[in-house]
Amino acid sequence: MIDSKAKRVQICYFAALRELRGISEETIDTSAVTAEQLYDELASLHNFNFNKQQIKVAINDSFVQWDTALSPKDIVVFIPPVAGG
Amino acid sequence: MFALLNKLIDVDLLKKELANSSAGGFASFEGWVRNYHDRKAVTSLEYEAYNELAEKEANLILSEARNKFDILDTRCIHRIGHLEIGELAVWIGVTAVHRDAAFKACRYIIDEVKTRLPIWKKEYYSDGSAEWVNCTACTENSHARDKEEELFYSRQTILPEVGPGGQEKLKNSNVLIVGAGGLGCPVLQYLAAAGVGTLGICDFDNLDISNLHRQTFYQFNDTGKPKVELAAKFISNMNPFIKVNKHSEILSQNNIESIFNKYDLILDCTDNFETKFLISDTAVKLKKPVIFASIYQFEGQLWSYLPEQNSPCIRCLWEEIPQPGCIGSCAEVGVLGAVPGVLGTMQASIALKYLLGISNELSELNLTLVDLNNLSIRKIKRFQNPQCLVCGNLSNKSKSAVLITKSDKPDLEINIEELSNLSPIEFEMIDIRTEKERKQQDTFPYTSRYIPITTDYSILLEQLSIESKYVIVCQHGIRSRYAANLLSKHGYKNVYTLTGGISLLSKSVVEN
Repeated sequence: MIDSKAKRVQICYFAALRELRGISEETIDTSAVTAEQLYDELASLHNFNFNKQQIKVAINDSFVQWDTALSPKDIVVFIPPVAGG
Repeated sequence: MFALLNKLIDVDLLKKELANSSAGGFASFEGWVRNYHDRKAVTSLEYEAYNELAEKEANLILSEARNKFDILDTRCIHRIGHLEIGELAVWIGVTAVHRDAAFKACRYIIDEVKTRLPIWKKEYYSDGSAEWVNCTACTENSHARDKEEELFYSRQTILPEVGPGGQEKLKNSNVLIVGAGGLGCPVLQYLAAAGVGTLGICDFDNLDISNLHRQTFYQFNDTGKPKVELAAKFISNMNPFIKVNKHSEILSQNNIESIFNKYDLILDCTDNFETKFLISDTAVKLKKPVIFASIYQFEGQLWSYLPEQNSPCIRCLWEEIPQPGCIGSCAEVGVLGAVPGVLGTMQASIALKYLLGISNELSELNLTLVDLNNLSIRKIKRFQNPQCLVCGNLSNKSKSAVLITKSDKPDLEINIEELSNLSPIEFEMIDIRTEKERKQQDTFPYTSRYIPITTDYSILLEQLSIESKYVIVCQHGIRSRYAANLLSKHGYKNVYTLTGGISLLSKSVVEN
């Protein structure tokens, strides 16, 4: 059942997150209000075991704070730091 | 070694001096006095030199030859004074492991000696006359050289955005590349080929066979040799019109400022967070522009710090250095060789446009995510954090305090020499490498306790006693430094980290 408050958002995964999720992007319906709630929801679904401090979130191609509210059709990107060279 | 000599050259003696049991090849060149010049019969000649300058220039040529070619030793002797027909005027000898380098170096030395040394020749002719011979070859050669240099860059100077003025800008630029690895190879190649006048290479590592799939200008036969030497040789051979500086040291709080001050632009091609943060913090302090790149498996990230654009620094986004190993390095998670090739080439193109003053359309202010899984590029807008501990609006005093508290503690570092002076009963060595790393390199001359760490460093707090003395080791000394810092913060007074890690240790054992 889809929550009445659910909104459809697009999610892009990078680096270790993409690896754990197994895909680069997906569109999902979520009742999460903030970016943080969305991350937590996905983390428990896909076993993301990272320190949230080290993951950054961007909405519609701008970095935002974790407590930023989600809107329908948002493109949400989760970005871990990478250091290989 | 070079010498000017006003008596007969003793070739046997020179060959004896060059004798070396590791040499597999010896090449020599002899220049003789010929009996005619320009259709006139020559009876004898006289050489005169500006000694001091000739010696200085010749020694420079010999050291260039050593940098360009893989040779062991070389001698060059040039006669001065009066010489008869058939006499030996110049002698060059080169030893090398393989003949190819010996031949090439010998050829290089004589060509340069003939054109660059201030040595003049007076010829005596059979009709009783004599003449100082203008070295037309010298002047022709230097014109030819200018022409070659022009031709070298001709396909880029045609671009209206570059032109001869832009080429001059590149020639006058000083750029430092930190890390001569997967990203560093394409960066060095393209900046050298484009004619960036001075390139500095900073790297402390030796070439490992596992580097070769992505670090594409190194040769299989050169494994074990210092990368900074190999990279310098490669780009000097490719472009003889540029200057290359070698910094074969680990970048640290102690040397970074003096190295950075020599350059106008820094390219971060390193593979670890700690160095990236050190580079970023120092760049903010010295107001030096930096172009960063990082890679992960099939992806990469690009961003810049441009003081004149008030761009955010690394700590505006990531306040603290991420724990090493938390996300993975090339050694731990793997990388497709072409990925650093793409990212390094993008980095080089951003750098060239920056030096030429061609707009990068402020894309440096974004974090650019390059995903070669689906060939996508996504630019994420970054913001300067006014609360940033390094570049924010805090007073200068509290900012510098933060930099110092965040810096490595140099007193935790112990180098190979200090380690060898410690008695084994004084301390316990803790090896925190992963099982995979250990399997790949088990030539480790110390007894150690093995506590493999992938992400959780707190296991050390559980297993190590606060009173005992420990030396923590890992592959390159980065994770062990993090571990030693962590233990020291928890009150351990006697923990040390082996600088450079096991990779340096096994190298020094092999060398000794």
